[in-house]
Amino acid sequence: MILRDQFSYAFDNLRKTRLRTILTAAGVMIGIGAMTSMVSVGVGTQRKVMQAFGEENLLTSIMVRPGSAPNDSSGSLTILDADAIEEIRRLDGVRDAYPVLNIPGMLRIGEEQLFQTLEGMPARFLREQIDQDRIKLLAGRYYEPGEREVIILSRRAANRMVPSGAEIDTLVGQRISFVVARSPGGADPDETESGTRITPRELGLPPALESLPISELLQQLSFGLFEAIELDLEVIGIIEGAGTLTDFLGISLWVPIELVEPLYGRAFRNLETVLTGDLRGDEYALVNVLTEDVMAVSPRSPRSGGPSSS
Amino acid sequence: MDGIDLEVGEGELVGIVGTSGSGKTTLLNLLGGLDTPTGGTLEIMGHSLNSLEARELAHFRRTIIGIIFQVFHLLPARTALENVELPLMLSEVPRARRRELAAAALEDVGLSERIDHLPSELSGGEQQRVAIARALVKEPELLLADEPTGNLDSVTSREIMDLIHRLNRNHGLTIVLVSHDQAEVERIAGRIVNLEDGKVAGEVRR
Repeated sequence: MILRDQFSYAFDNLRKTRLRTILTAAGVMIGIGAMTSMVSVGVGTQRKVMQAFGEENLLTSIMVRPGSAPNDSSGSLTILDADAIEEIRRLDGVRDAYPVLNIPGMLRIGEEQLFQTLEGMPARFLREQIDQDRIKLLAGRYYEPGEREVIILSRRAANRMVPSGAEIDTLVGQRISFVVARSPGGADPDETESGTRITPRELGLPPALESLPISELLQQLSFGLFEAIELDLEVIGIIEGAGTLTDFLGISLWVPIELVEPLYGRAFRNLETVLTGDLRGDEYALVNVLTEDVMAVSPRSPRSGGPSSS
Repeated sequence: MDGIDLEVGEGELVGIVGTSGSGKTTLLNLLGGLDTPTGGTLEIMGHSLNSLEARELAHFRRTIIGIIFQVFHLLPARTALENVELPLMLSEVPRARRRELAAAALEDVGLSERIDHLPSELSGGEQQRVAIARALVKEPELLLADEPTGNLDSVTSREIMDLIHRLNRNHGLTIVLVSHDQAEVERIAGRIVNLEDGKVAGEVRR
């Protein structure tokens, strides 16, 4: 059959059965449209979820804690110290690793006060979050390496602290007091040049708690022997999450990790090492390992059992 | 088919009769190259159907054989002329020439006034005439008719049988006609073959 005849016959058939042609075309369009829509919704949702996870580093972040390797029956404990972190940083696929140093305490600004946690963040991590558009600055600036007595507030934290009717950016430049508990086993605050020892009364606790010595109160809260240290910090910036989940930061108080580390008392470290008495004073309870991609990290031959991850 | 031995001469009109399931249609399908024999020899107009490739078999069907069926198999959206034209289109006959040949074929079967009608606008007898014209337009050497009057009333059946008879008589066309209507077959066929369980149970020459 000649090609021209084939085409002319085919189009002639379509023309002669117009209604059937229209209905068939409509059916095909609806079918393809429905299929495309479903696939698009599926792919879009997956991308959105992956993006949201990615923005929070959930897919490229591994929390490593000390302890026994899963198959190690020798009973030996692996210690996470500065050397271990350095070793982790050198693993293939790891782009950074830093100890998670969160210290609970009481924040005071003017008349406002709330119990919150200070999060020690390396300036380089902060820079990476900015570069990758995971967080954005609402007011002020970020801290640079070497800065110490400064604090960055998340938008929700700033909203909690700002006087009613005032804008949150009025907090920038103000000084706030943050009282933390420090265990005597930690570094001497004099060495850190940060913080001042204060008495329980100076803390201005609510009347119901004022009768309790602050060290006793914080013992109950934090399982150890503590003394209260008051930090005088300057608010330099207010941030919020960028992208899909702008509120994923919640109430966050970010300070330079160098400020927090000397205050990080023994009781905040690994409970297991505390209980066994195998305590050196320089180990960490948790290390955040950031990988380059959603991929497996190749372990090298670990030092005495190597760090375990979760 | 079971050990059947049948020879049909050129210009013959052979009627095949038999009960349902006797193998009439199977025989016709074998003759038309629609089915392939599993054994034996089948030769038509010098072509051994056993040895033909699929492409050669299609060419054989398109040029040597014309088939008409009990159901007319006309394209409902095409006029009588276009339906008759179709086999010529497959044989790549130019448009003007095939129109001319299709019109002549329809005239041969007495439908020159109905060439622009759709099948739905034609009676059963007229539709079968269109089917016959379609089978004849490519001038086949062998016409196979499988129960061509099975869907028609007795008067129309007779007209169609007469037409088939006329084609054989006037044009010398070789025809193998399968029908359950033994009386009509006996009226027009020069030879009648009675099939039973795939075998030739009897043969009558008139």
